[in-house]
This record gives sequence, structure tokens and C-alpha cells, in this order.
Amino acid sequence: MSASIESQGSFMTEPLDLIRLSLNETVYVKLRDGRELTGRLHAYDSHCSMVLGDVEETVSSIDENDVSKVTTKTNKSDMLFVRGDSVILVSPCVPEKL
Amino acid sequence: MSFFGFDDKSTDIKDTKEYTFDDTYDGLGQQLQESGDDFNDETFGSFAVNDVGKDFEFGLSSSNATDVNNNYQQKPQSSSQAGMPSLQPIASLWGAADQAQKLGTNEVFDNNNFDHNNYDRSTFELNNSGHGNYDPTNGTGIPGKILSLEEVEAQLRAASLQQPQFQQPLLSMPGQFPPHQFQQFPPHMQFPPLSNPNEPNFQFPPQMMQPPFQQMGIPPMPMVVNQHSQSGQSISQNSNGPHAPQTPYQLEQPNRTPVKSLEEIRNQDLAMAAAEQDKAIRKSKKMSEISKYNNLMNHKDKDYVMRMQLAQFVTDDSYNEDFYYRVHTAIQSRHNPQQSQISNIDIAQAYVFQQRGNNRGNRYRGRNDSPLERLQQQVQRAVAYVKQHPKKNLFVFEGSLGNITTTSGKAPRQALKIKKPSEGIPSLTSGDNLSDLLTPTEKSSVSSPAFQLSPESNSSSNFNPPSSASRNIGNDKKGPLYSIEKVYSILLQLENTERTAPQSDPSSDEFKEWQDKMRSLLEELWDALQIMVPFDAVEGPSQVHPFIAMLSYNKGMKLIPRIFRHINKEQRLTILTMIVAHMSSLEVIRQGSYTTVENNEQSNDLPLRVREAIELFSQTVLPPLVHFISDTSYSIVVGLLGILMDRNDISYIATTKTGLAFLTVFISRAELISQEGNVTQSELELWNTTFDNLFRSLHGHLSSIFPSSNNIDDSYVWQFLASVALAAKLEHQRIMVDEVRDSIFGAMNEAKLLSPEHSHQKIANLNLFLNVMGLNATTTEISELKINE
Repeated sequence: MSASIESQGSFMTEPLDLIRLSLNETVYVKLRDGRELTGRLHAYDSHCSMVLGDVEETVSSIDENDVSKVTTKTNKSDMLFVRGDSVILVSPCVPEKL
Repeated sequence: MSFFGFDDKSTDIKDTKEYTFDDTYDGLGQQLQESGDDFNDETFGSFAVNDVGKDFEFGLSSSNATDVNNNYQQKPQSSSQAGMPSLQPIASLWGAADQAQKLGTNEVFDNNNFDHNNYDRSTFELNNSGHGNYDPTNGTGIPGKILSLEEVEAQLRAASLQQPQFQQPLLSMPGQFPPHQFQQFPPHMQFPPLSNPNEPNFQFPPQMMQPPFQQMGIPPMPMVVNQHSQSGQSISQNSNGPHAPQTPYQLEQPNRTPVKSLEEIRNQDLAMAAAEQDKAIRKSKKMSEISKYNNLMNHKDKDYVMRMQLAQFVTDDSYNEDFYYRVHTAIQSRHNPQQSQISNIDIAQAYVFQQRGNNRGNRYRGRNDSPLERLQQQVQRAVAYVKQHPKKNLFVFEGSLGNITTTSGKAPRQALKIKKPSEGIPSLTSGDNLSDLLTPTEKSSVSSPAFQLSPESNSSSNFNPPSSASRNIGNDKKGPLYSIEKVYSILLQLENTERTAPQSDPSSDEFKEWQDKMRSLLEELWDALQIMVPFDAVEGPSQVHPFIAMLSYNKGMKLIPRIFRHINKEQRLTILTMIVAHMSSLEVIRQGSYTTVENNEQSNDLPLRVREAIELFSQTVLPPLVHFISDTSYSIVVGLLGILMDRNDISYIATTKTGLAFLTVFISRAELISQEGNVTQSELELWNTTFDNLFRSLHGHLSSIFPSSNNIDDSYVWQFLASVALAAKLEHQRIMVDEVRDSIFGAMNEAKLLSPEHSHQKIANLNLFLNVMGLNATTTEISELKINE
């Protein structure tokens, strides 16, 4: 409900509007720099900036010496603002592993 | 930055040593006789060891002052071997040089109240006395031979007074170098230039000061002493408290035994001083970095910037753009009604008010009120200006070839202009349901990306059988989600329109226009709810009506109370009927039964997500419905109960909390009306038949309506049983008791093990049911309910 409301009639006209369906639902967000988020989508804007609640962040990093070694770290936060320029993907489907 | 032309790194001890007097003053120190210190003990030590200060009447009546003196005495005692006392006669000789005046002046000094003069004096004393005591031209370096006994006594007397005064600049230097004092002065201001006439120590030839320090074996000291005495002076010029310099002494008090050599202490002090100085220097550098931009903007510039910033805030539709602020203020005003009057104050003003409140609370206390008021006025003016000059996004200058676009945060410059396809696609309201026209095979083919975006395909695609395995597949989900968003967008428009109701009288055109708009929006809302969508007669086992599917989502549930405000009674009844008829399709019913809980789960409870949904349902959807039921007529209640039993499996619904809540409400409402007596015989008969049917459905399942775990609050079950027992005949009651006997005794046994207050609660729940039948339970027995109890 925080998302902008189109003034008259036109509702759900562009691809980004699909994100609106996920408002208040759990979304999976992939970010640059090997970061992934799952959390409840509270708000978003045209830049894909988002406010997420009850977020679990997974940071994956590759060992410098051994490329096959991937370490993941998870952080949790109650509320998170995600700047849109780092967003790669927003999905309503939460992958099983998360 | 430099002190006396030295590199500022010289504050480091190691570096300081490079600047001995030998280097600085042409090696005059070489002339000194190092062996001439035979009588040093006699000269320095003797008085230092004795408690000279105690025996004299100083005219310092304050006992405090004496204490301070005593404290200071510890220092010379502990460090007499290290040459420290040599400083004392140096100071004392100041008195020898100018005895009468000295004594007179010193007695006026209060040790607890150092002022600028005091520091000046101590500085002066150090250097001056060096001159008096050790005359390098003399070469002996034995002061005893120069001074008479009276003079020495006078020195001692003077020394005992002066001790703290001259030592402080030296020994307490760590405490005296708080960085914040430095930062008030640009580096070049920190130490007065050599030519400063107020600086006595530079009025004496350098060689005068040299010998004593050489004798003490502390080569770098002169510089340090100079620096410190000066910095002490500069500090004293802006120092804020006389007590600060004393701190080092007090800290050292416990160390009465000479543990550390003076050299060590001095080095430590030096290191600390150097570190702090370094810090201060860095800080002041930073400050000057920042402050070089000071006053770059004048008032007009600031006003302009503020206006530009505020222009982004000011909005005509604050409910839309400042939604969270509005909701926040609404909630706030609910909590403290006194503050509810600010509802029309502009957000920028409120912001400044807040700022002001905050600042008053802390660091601007008492001094910045008027600038803040000025700022507030500025903001008000700026807000007024912005309101008067609404943003124009497009300027077309005559004769120019293009447009000049001004953008804002709300309306950024558009890089692409895409023709909105909405004109081409029939809207959901007019186009009705494409799915009705499609055969099932066509439906499944409606999943190409192009169709995904169009509302029709989504809203229709939710009719696909949502087997539990395919729950998360997009098609199943997107339909109701789309519907919910559509309802929300209409609802928000509706609420916004409602707020902007014209103040003019109801007969005016303006008002009629507004009424029409409201009506059309309400119709749109009603259509968007899809409640009138015909439901296929041949429904599959898990097909869900679109309206019911919307209630599977939390945001869908939250819609109900907001919609109920706007719709009329018939529409409310329609919604209620729809929910009742399709109750078993409700997500909270489908997943809310304890019979489906797998026993291998630890908690033996429903999944958290489901529990939250049930809780939300009973907080959002149930209240308006219950409110409606409590107002409705007998026939409708009985009729709804009939529909509920016809269309659903009562024995399953009764195992869910939500289902039981509905049943409880219906039964109690019907029973309440029938007991009031305003019921025709036929209606009463219908009710009896309905209830018998209901009871038959429940018969044999009553024990399964209890939650699967003892830890779950089961009061709603007892409430339900109470409402059933209320309506039930005696034989019904007997059957009920038979069926739930285990649970009754189970509850009693449990209550025995619980803490008194939990136990009481448990028994109270149980008695909800038993009291209806005239029984009363305690933890141990069930007795007949006594009316007078």
C-alpha cells in the first residue's frame, strides 16, 4: 500500500508493476557482490529500491586461492533498505535452500 | 606546525633530545663543572625531605590548601635522588631575588585558585631562579656559598609555597593538554612568539638556564619546561577550572613509596604529552580543513537551498505521498489526544518543531532558541513560497527549439517514453472473465509471457487446480495477488476521494460530482472483489473462488475491515454468505486443523505461518463479520448456519479455531434471539432442526475439536461447547459430556500441576462449559453449581 498509486484507471501496466504483487509477501532478492536476501517486501520504488522486513541476508564469497571454495555467511535484520542500483533480481519464489 | 621553529615531531621524547642546549646554545654547557655537586643534598635534599611546609604559618587559612601542599610534598620525597628537588630551590631562589615582594605576593595566592598570573609567575620562577642559583660564570654551582642563612630560610619558606605552583605546569602536563583546548587555537596561535613581552623567561640570556639542567642530567628539560610553562600559560588563559591541574598529583597519591624514578615518570609524562599534542594537532588540522569552507554561503544561498529541499517535500496529496507520516500521526493522536490538533500542520513545520524540541533537550540548551525560531520562520516562508509557486515540469520558451524540463525527486527526468498499453487491453471490470470463455485446455495455454502481464490471464489462471504441490507456482499465486492489488488501488482512491469531500452544501454541483465519483469507485471496488463471479457448479475438490483466494493472503484479510466501512448492508451480507459458503476453502480452515498436524513435529502445533494467519484472520476478518451477525435477524443467522452445514464438512471445520469461532457466534446469536422470545414458531422450529442437524454432524467428533497439544490455549473450545450446551437439550448435553469427559478430567489433572494462576485459568475455561449445565469444577472434583456461590 505504500507503493505509488496510479492516479486513474491504469493499473499494472509495466513489468515493474509485477513487484507490486509481492508487497507484504516474502521475496527473494539477488544483489551484486554475491548477496542474496529473503524478506518481506514492505515497499519499493521505480529504482527497485526496497524496504524489506525480517530479512535474512546470505553473502557468498569465493576463496582467493581456491576458487571452488565458497563461503557463505548469513546475517539477519529486522528491517532493511536496499538501494536499487545493487538489485539484480527480485523473485516472489523463495528458493528451497534458503 | 612548529613550536619555536622546531618540527612538531620534536614533541616526541627521542626527538626532543636532539634539541639540547648544547645544540641550541653553542655548547656553552661544556664549560660546566660536573663535579661541583657535592653539596647538592645539603642544598636540595635537606629541605625536600623535611616537611618544611607544615611548620609555617602561611596565612593560607584554608585547610584545603595545606592538604594540597602536603600532597605535593610526596613528590619531592619520592624523587629526591633523581634530581627532581633541584627544581625547588630554583623556584625558591625567585624569592631570594625579590624576597619581600615575593613573600607578600605568594601569601595571597590560594593554591586552589590558580589564575593566569599564577602560571605566569611559575614560568617566570623556573627560569629566573635558574639564573640566580647557578651562575655559570661562577662555575662552582654551589648555591650555599652565595646565600646567607636568612636567605636560605626565606627560600625555603617561599619554596614551600611555590612548590605546587611551579610544579604544576611541569608535572601535570598530561592533564593540562586536553585536546579540546588546543583545538580552540589555530596551531600558530598556540604558543606566543619569542618576542612576546609577557613572556618573562625569554628576557634572560639562554646560558643562564643551561647549567642547572645539565647538572640534573636531564638534557632536554629546558625545552620541555619552556614549552610546558608556556602551554600551561596558554591553557590558563582559557582554562576553565582551577582544579584540573591538580589531578595528576591526586592520582599519584597512592604511590607514596618511590617506585618509579623521576626520569621514568618524566618520560611517561612526556610521551603522554606528546601523544596528546599529536592528537590535538591532528584535530586542529582537521578543524581548519573543515572551517576553511566556513561562510562560503550567505543567507540567501542557504534560503535558496532550503527552499529547493522543501520543494521536494511539499505536496498537495499528503495522504498519498506521506502515507506513513499520516498513519503515524493518526496513531500518535490516538495515544495522546492532546496532540491530535496538529493534523493540518505541514510536515516541514512539524519537522522543525521536532528539531527544536530535540535541540532544547541537549546541546543547544538555552542559547539557540532565537536562531531556531528564525529558522522556523524561514521554513514557514519557504513552504509558503513553494505552495504559491507550484512546480512546473515543462517550460517552453517562445522561439526556443526545445523544452526545458525541471525534474524532481518525485518526477525524475524520463529517459524513455513508453506508450502505455492500457488502452489496448480491456480492463478487468469491463472485459469480465476471459476464463469463462476459455476451455480448460485454453486456460493452461494462457501462460505466455505476454499474457502474464495482462490482468485477465492472471485473474483467471488462479482457477487452475491448486494442488498443494503446485502452490508456489506463479500462476496459482498471481491471480489473487493481482486482485488484491487492484482492490487496494481502488480502495486507496476511494479513501482519498472520501477525504477530499467538498465542504459545500449537499445540493451543489460540486458535491454531486463528488458523490458520483464515490459511487463509481464503490462499484469499481465491488467488481474488483469478484464476489459476484459465478462459481462453477462442477467445482473440483480444491478449486477456490477468487474472493476466497484473496483471503489466503494477509494483505487480503486486512482488506475486509477497510472495505466494510464503505459497503452497504446487502453487500456485507453477500461477503459473509460467500465466506460461510466457501469456508472450507479458506486457507485458515484448510491448514488450520489440528487433525492434520503431524505428530512427529516437536511443538505438536500448527506451523508458525498458519498460526499467524489464523490470528490475523480473527483480528481483521472476524470482527466486522461478528459485528454484522450480532446485528442481523434470526432468519439470516439460521439461514447462514444452514448454508454453512450444506456446503461444508462441519466435522472438519469444527477442528479449526476459525471454524469453531464462526459456529460459536452463530449458535450463541441464534440462541440469544430465541431466548428473547421474539421469534415465530416456524422460525423456532427451523432453528431446532438446524441445530439437530448440526449436532448430528458434530456427534462423534467432539473429542477431536481440541487442539493437539496441551500447551495451546483451548479456551475457544470450551466457549464453543458452552454455546452448544446452551442451545442443546438435556440428552444432547449428556452426549457432549460423555464425548469430552476425557478432556474435562484431563484439564482438571493438568490444572493440578500448573501454577495457581494458570490452574485457575484452566479451571475457569472448563467451567465456561460446565456452568452452562449447572456444574462446577475445581481441580479435584465436579460438583453441582450452587447459585449463591
